Amino acid sequence: MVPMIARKLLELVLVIFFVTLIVFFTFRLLPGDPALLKLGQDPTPEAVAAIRAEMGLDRPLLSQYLHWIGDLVRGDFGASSLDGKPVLSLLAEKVPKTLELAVLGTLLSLFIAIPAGVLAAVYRYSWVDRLMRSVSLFGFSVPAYWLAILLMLIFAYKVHLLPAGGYASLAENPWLHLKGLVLPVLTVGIINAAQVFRFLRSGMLDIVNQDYIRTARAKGVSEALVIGKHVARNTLPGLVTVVTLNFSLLLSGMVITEQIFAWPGLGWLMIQSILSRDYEVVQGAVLLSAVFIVVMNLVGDLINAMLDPRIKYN
Amino acid sequence: MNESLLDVNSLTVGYRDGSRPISILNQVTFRIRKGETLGIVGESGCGKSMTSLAVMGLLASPLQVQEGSIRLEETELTGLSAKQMNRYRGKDLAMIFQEPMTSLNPVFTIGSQIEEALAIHLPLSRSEVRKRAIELLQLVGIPSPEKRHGDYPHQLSGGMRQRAMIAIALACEPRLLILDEPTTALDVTIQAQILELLASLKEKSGMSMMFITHDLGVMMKMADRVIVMYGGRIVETAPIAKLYEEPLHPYTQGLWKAIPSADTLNQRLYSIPGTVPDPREETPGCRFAGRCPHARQECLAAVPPLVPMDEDRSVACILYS
Repeated sequence: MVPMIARKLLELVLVIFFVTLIVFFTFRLLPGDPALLKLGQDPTPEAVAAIRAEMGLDRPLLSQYLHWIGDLVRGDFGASSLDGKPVLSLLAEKVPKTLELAVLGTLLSLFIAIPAGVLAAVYRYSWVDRLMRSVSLFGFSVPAYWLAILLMLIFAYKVHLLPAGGYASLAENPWLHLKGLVLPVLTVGIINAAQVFRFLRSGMLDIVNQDYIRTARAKGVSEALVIGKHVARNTLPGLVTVVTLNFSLLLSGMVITEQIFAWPGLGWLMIQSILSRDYEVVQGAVLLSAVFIVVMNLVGDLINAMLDPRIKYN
Repeated sequence: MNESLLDVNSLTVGYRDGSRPISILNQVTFRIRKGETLGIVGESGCGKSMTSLAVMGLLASPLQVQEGSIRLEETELTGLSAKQMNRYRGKDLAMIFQEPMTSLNPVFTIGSQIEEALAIHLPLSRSEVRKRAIELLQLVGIPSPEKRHGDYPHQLSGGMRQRAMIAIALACEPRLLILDEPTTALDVTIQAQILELLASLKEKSGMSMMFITHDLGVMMKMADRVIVMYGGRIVETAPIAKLYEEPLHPYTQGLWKAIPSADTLNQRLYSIPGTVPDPREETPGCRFAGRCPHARQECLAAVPPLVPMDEDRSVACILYS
C-alpha cells in the first residue's frame, strides 16, 4: 500500500507542476491588463507604469512565473490585486461553502441513484427500468443552468417557498441558510444522480451476466443475496470511481450553479476574479481545484485497492 | 444401480417470439440412474448446455421450460419457485462450468466461496464450516489448503481454479453433479488430472454425473451411457461401448469419423458437411436431413421418433424404423 501511495503522491506533484504552467501562461494570454483595471478610467502612463512595477508585471514572464512558484513553495499564494487580501484566506473562506454544496449534492445524488439503479438493473427491460431510464435521460441531457433557472422559477417565483439565491451564514441565520441550500443542492444532486444511475444500471447489468453470478445461483444463493452481495460487491469499485470523480469535479467548481444562485463558493470566486483579471486569485483557485481532483482520484484508487484484491499495491 | 435419480421427460425449452413459441430443445427424454455417469455429446448449439441449465433451473430469461417434466427422484423440479429451487441447487444438484477463469467471484476468497455453499445448506457452526472447507480443498488436491483457503481466484492457476470449483460443487455432497465441459478450457495434462480427480471422487461418493462434452475421447473415459444430441433433440442413446463399436445414427457416425487418429495422420480431417440449422426455421422433418449422406425424401416429412433398438439403446432415424 505504501509504495502505491508514494507513487500517487509523486504523480500528484507532477500534475500540479503542469497545472501551474498552464494556469500561469494561459491567463497571461488573456486580453486585459490588471493594472488598468485597478486604476480605473484614463490613468496617466506614469501611474500605470508605477502600478505595473509594483505588481511585478513589468518583469519577463518567466521571472514572474518563477517568482510565483517560489512563493507557492513557501506557502504564499500571493494577494488579491483588488483588495490586497491574501489569496489563501480568500480560498479558505470560499472552499467550505463549495464543500457544503458538493457533499450535500453528492449525498442527494446517491440517495436517488442507488435505489433507482438497483431497481432498474434487477427489473431490467421492465416498465420500471424504462421509466427510470427516461427520467435519467432527462437529468443527463439538461444543462445545469437550465435546470437551475427552472427550479428557481418554480420555487422562488411561482410559489414563494425558497430564496432565488444568496448565501446566509449558518451561524447567524440557520433557517435561511438551509432554505438557500435547497435549490443549488437539488440542481447539483439531480444532474449527478442521472450520471450515477446510468453507470450503476449498466455496471450491474454487466456483472449480472458474469459467469461467477451463475456459479452463485448454482450454489443456491438467494436472489436477494446474489444482488446484494455478489453483484453489489463487484459493482462497488466502479461506483467509487464514478462518485469520487464526480465529487472532485463538484469541488473544483460548480461555476454555473454557484453563479446562478449567487452562492459565494470557489466557482463563484473564479468567475469574479477572472472578470477582474485578479491573476493571483485565479491562479490559486484553479490550482486548488486541480489539487482537489488529483487528491480525490487518489482517494478513489485507495478505496478500490481495498475493495478489489486484483488491484496490486505496486 | 438401476434406480432412477433424474427423470427428464419430453423436455421442451425455448422462448416466445411475439406470440410464436420457438423451441430450441425439443422433446428431450432421458434418465440418469443412481451412481451413473451420463454423457451428453453434440456440437456447439445442439442444446447440451441448455439441457443442463434447465435441470439446474438456471435458464436465463427469456428462455423457459415450455413443456415436459424434470424429476429428481420424487420431486418435480419444473414449476418450482426460485426460492424452492434454491433448496436443491448446491445441495442435491451441483454444477461445474466450462470456464474456471471466470466462474469464481474475483472479490471473494476461495475459502469463503466454498463456505458460502456450506453455510446455505448445512446446519454447521462457523468453525465447522471453515474446517469442512479446508477438508474439501484437500479432497480436490489443492496443496497447502490452509493457505489457499485465503487466496483469491486470481492467485490460482486455471487447473487449481477448476479444482476449487469442484470443491464448491461437492461441498454439500450432491446427488447429481452436472459438468458442462469442465476440462475444455484447460491444458491437456491438467485436463487428464482433473478427469482422474473427478473419476476418483465419483467412486468415493457414489453420486451421479451428467457430463457434457464435445470431446469423444473424454466421453470414452468418463461416461457409462451417452446421449447424442443434434439440433435440440436426442438422436441416439446407448451405453458408451455400444456407441463406440457400432454408432447407428448417421450423425453419430459422422462424429466418430471426425475424430483424428493415427491412421488418418496425412489425410484431410473429416468434418460433417453443412452447419447446425437455425432453431427459428421450422422444418417438419429430421433436422439432420440437410447434412445426412443417407437422406431420403421421407426424412423431410416428419421428425423420426426415438425408437428403442434393444433394452438400453434407442435411435431416432428412419433407417432403423
